[in-house]
Amino acid sequence: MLRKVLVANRGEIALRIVRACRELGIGSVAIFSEADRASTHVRVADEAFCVGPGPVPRSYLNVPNIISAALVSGCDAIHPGYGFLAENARFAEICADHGLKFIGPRPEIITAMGDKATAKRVMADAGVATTPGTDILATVELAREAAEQVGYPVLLKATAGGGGKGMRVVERPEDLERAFLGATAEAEASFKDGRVYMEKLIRDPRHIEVQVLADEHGQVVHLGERDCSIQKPSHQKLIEEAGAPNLTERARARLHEMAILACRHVGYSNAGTLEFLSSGDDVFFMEMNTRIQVEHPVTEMVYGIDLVKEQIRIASGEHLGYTQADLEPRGHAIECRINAEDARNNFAPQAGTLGAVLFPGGPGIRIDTHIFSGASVPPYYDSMLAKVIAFANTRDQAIARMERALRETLVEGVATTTEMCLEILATEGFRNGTYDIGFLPRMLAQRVG
Amino acid sequence: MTSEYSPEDAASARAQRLAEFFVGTPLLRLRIEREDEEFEFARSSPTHASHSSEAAQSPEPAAELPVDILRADVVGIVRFGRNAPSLGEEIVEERELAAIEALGIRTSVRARSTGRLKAILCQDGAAVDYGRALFEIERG
Repeated sequence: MLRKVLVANRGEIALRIVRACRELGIGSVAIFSEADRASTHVRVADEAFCVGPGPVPRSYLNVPNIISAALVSGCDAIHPGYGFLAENARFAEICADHGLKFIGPRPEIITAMGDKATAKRVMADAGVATTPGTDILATVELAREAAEQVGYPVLLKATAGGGGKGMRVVERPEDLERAFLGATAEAEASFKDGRVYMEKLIRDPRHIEVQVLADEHGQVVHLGERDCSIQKPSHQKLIEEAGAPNLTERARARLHEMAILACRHVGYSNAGTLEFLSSGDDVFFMEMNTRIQVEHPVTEMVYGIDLVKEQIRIASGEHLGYTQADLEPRGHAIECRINAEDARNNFAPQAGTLGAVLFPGGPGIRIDTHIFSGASVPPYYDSMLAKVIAFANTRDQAIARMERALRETLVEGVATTTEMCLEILATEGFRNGTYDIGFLPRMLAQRVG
Repeated sequence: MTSEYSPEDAASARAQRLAEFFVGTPLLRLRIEREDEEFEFARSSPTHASHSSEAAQSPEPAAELPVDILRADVVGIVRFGRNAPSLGEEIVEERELAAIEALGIRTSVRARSTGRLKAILCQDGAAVDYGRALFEIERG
């Protein structure tokens, strides 16, 4: 087993990893920026190192200081969490160069899956269904030819992308040039990689993803699916649930089968998530995230498995110790993200000092958060403050529990998404589980109209 | 308006006003750097941050100004050379007081001004993090 892990992240996921380390009896080292000096993960970890000032490039992306902190504190591994350096293959290589185990897949897998066009090609080779589309498009002219072949409407996507950045829907040929230039410019600005590719736009799909775990000895299991279709207009997820409601058994079986097939094909190890678009019985591979996901707790609740501990065990070289037949989901779990955002103002991020903070409890409620009364919400980072997770035997009971929990939630000092989540939970579309990724944007547009 | 105070009195008054302001904020640390002076105020933090205890070690404001606080700008191990400085020693500008070793690279910690070495806040061979106060030099 690993002895001491540096947690290269902040916020709730840093705290989540520190907790896993503690329960496994291994040491933890937090890193923090000057803006996060009073943060919970700093207080709870065994040791903590400031790695730079508030802005992300100078702290949480400051690779020399992070590696140095790991070395001087005697760590033998680094857990990257999600975001920041989690899908940076070069960082994984640098860790290995310094004798530090990167808790994630091998760098070449991160590289292949991080480039979405390459990932699609690899998955197609593995026999996984992918959306009709193209490889990287170098020019507007090539994009125009490709769109004619794929058929409008099409989606332009940044190959290095995520969070909806560098993505454009093109309904008509006359809109293509402007969309292409906009997507490449946005991708360049966001990821320093302006390359884009094209996919056939699947209308009103659901975003279904499959959680996988693979050890370093070839054993692969899936831990079911999550429905992450409640997304903001920026394509960022707001509510997730496990399992996916109203998914046909045929689609569910195909999703699980393809996830295993894909992992075996690429020789995947550690935790990962394959994201699919689903429409009826059709499922199409979209991308693979080679890290722990924000929404991992809903899977943990229905499978009773601690995914972060499993990541550490796998990185330690241990065997999974169970097979697919040993895994049976139980009950239903829903997660609502409490973000410091003004939902009535285009989800504008909020920063400042929190007033009173009080989270719910009671049966079936789990809270993953780093905030507390009087905590500061710096302007430099992601606006997520907390994840409220409700678990129950049935989906209806989980919804009722979540509504009760959100009504008990108190976060003063900044606008949050709590009320927006409650509004969504109350809709007929959410209650009957028929929503798709356009659900929330349509709901918001109707409210404005 | 013409000041009735000496420059030292004026600095003390500024420090006093800033200290009063700081007490009324929720901040753990406030650092203000100007061309010719530097103020730092810190509360004892309830957090433990074992390698970042500068808040507890920082000087109280105003009493002994002007003081240069030299801080680590990389994470690494402090190394005192053969010419290690002594407390109270007169230090000339640009003198190397120590170095920080990180990933095989040695980064010098040099005096920004001439003055008296008022405090040594680090130990040879100790791990330091970003922003950690290493030395205090009373300018003069």
